[in-house]
Amino acid sequence: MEKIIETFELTKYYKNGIVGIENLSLSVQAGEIYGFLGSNGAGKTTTIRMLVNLLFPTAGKAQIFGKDIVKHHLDICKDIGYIPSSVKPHKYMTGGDFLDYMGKLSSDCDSEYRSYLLKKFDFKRKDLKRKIKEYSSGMARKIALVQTFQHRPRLLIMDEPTEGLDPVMQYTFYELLKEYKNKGGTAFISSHHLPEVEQVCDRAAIIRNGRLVAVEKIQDLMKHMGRTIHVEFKDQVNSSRMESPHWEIVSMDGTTLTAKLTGDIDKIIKLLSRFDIKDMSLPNPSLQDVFLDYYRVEESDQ
Amino acid sequence: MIGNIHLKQSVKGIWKKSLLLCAALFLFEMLFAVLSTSVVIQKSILRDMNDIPAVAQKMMGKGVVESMLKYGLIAVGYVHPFMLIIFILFIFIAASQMITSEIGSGTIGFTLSKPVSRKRLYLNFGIIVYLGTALLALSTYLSSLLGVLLFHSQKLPKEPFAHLAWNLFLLMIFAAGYIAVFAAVSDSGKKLFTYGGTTLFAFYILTFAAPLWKPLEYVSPVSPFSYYKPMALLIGGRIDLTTSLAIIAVSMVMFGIGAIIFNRRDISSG
Repeated sequence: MEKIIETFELTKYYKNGIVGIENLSLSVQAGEIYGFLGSNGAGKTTTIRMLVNLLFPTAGKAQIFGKDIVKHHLDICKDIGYIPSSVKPHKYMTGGDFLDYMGKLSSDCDSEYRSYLLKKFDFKRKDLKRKIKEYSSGMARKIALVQTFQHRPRLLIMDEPTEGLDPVMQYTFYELLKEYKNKGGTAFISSHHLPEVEQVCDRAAIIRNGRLVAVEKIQDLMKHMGRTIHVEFKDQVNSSRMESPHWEIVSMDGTTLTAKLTGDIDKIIKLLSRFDIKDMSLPNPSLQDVFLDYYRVEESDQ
Repeated sequence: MIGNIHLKQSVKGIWKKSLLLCAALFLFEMLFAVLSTSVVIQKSILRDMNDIPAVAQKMMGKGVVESMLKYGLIAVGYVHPFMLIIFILFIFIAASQMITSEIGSGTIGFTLSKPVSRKRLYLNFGIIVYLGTALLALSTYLSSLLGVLLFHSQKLPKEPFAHLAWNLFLLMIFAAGYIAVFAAVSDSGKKLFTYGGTTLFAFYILTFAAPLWKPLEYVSPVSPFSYYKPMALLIGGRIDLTTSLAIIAVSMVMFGIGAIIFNRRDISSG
């Protein structure tokens, strides 16, 4: 399958000695929605700014559409839709002027599709006549999203795209992203919003302190995370009677027990059936659990 | 083609401010042309003071008294800091709006994510500065010409005003070269104004101080203001072609240096 983005040991050190990213190697396949996760300062924005040629690599290289991002930046840009993390479109322009201007710079803008996008994001004609400086941050984000999609780019590079959007508009964005993917588009999305990545991404990478720590399909990532079981007993239970090689007890407090499943669930159910149980839950792990687990490892490493 | 779209948009963003500055300059020079018809007493004072302002003559260049005797307050209009401030303000506005404020506000990310090269962005900045400066110089020229025609019955030579406008243009494109370099390394309009403004002010002081202290004369050629000689031009002085070409070349080289720096720098916003 065609690789749309590929980085080879991409490294960025800032002048003050701070590590932006170090030896980052990843690849994004055509037609894939790729999530890029990390805490603040992990290196997500640094990576994205290097992909759009705002920052230059200290070492390593990256390719988009098989072309070097530094040497062939202008060629690559024709097929990219980019939205930065802190959206501040040209404030002296009206919303309409901004879209016209960005559309002309993209040279291939579909006005019908733009109208569709504007309708989706609930823009009225009068909104487009207002200066962007009069927009709320959510509106500014929406107009920036419209410009990202309007020229039907082959690749979307988005840094925290739903930051500041209300839940309804977030949902609209997810829908658009799904439509875009169904038409063969590829997206590279950094996000703090883990349910969003879980919902829209095919694969996700987790970056920590500038280094890649995991890249997997969302389902596979979550499989790594053992499921946690919560049990509430009717009576006090002795913890020694709860021991089993099939789980790892996290906490045992009189009548409540929390444990991480590590083995056969059937054996655990049989063990629990010997007791009177008041309540029990076995939720699926969320991406948030996986993410936090990776970061807990970091803390314990330190 | 795409570079031209960016240029067109930049012109759209700056033309109102440019016209406002042109109007301010026009009115300012016109005011001096009007005032010079009524302030006759000044000429007698100047005649009496012919020997006294030797320091001033030295600082302001040759012909300060003669030009003021001939053109009265019109001559003062050309050395008044207000006029220089208007020109410099325009260059700062262009640099800020097209380069540094885009970086500071993060909008540059949108622009550079499109097929617009950084070099082209800088070329557009240069084009706007050169055209805008020429427009401001033209405005000064027309204002003085009209002022003399309307308010002065005595026949004053008009030709020096064309030379003055050309001199102003050269002064400002030289100054713009420095600002272009500062804009290439600055992350915000504030930094550009601080460092660029301080440098130009230091050059301004240097130009006046150089005739008074020999060692400064050796460094004064780096100051754009050293080449601004309005008083000498009003009494028939000329700017030779070599100097004009040299200033244009230096200004272009500085814009080129700015473009190279800007092309290779990291932009940590957008």
